[in-house]
Amino acid sequence: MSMGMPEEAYGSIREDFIVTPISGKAFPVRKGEVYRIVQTEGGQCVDVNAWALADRREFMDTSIMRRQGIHTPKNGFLVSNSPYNRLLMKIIEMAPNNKADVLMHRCSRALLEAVWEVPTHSNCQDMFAESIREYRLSPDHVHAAMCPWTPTRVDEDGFVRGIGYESRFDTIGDVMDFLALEDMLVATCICGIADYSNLGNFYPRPIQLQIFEASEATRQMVAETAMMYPPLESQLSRDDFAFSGATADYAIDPTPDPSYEPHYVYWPQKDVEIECELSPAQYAAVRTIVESHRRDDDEDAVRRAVMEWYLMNRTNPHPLMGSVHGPFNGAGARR
Amino acid sequence: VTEDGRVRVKIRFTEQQVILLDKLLDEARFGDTHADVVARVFDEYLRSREMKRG
Repeated sequence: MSMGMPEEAYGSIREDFIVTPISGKAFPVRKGEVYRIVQTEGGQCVDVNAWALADRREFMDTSIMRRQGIHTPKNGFLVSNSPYNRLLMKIIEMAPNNKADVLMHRCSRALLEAVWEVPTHSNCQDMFAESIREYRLSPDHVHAAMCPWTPTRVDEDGFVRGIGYESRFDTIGDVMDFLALEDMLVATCICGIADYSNLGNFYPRPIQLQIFEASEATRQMVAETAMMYPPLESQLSRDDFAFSGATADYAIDPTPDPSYEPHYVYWPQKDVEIECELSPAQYAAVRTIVESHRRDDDEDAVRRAVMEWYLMNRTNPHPLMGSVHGPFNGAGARR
Repeated sequence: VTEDGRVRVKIRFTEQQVILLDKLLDEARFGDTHADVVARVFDEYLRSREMKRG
């Protein structure tokens, strides 16, 4: 592990949580603690939101973070929105193949209805909203997401394209560690359209979240970061701004609502098993795809082929999807 | 493997994916069952790959 930050230098694990498809989970993460996401089974697009505990109006802003690249790199920072513009968290461990996209925003009910004509489908907006409800936040507090393990690119004409991983084995076992530079609330969910999109290899799988307590070494790293990038005079706190209207308390209560019970749509994920008879020629093609495209097995090869075909032949071009799955020039119509 | 050489494959789809298979069933051009839809769409997928290859 680089940056002189071996995992052994982190504090003890105080949270260890499996996020099952299709759901999310929010946790307060204190300054100096390390928040870890683990790709337990690989190939899973993940979405992350983060707010300052002191003021929910200060949150990770992916638009300013794009100045670090369309994929936030290792040693990159989660930066808060204007007028705060503070460094909230630092990525201190990250596999080279992990592309943490900050272009894709997040999926929503409207996107699913517009593109797939399925308005009831799980989506990241709703999953974030449901996860932060435990901390008394509401759907309008959800913001544009960072999406780790989401390979994207901008083509030569400036269109955004979702690429995905050819095989989930490319990322299995990866970890991504965020050092909290401030007291935070962090929510992470499994991408809501992972079963309709190559960004989840067309089959949602669990991820693991861990929080390591602050240690002497992680506190030192927070201090070193503050020395490298000291607070700026212009980085005002909420007490510095003149607000009109009633004074409100924007702090996030870090105590979970004891009455909270999560309710995610289609959760827990259920499967329907379909037995197909394939001709010898079809089955030979399945085996070729398994080997040439590094699919898990016959099931994975067929399921992914069917869903890819649907994506390319039965979805509607729409501004909400843009060019992610194909060219979009604004002239497309519903099929 | 059946007597005529066909191969039975079990495939799990999520409940939400089955909604899309139902939409294809409604088109009435991919057969009468989910199994028909999966096999015929897989053929369409293979044909589209061949077309891409030229």
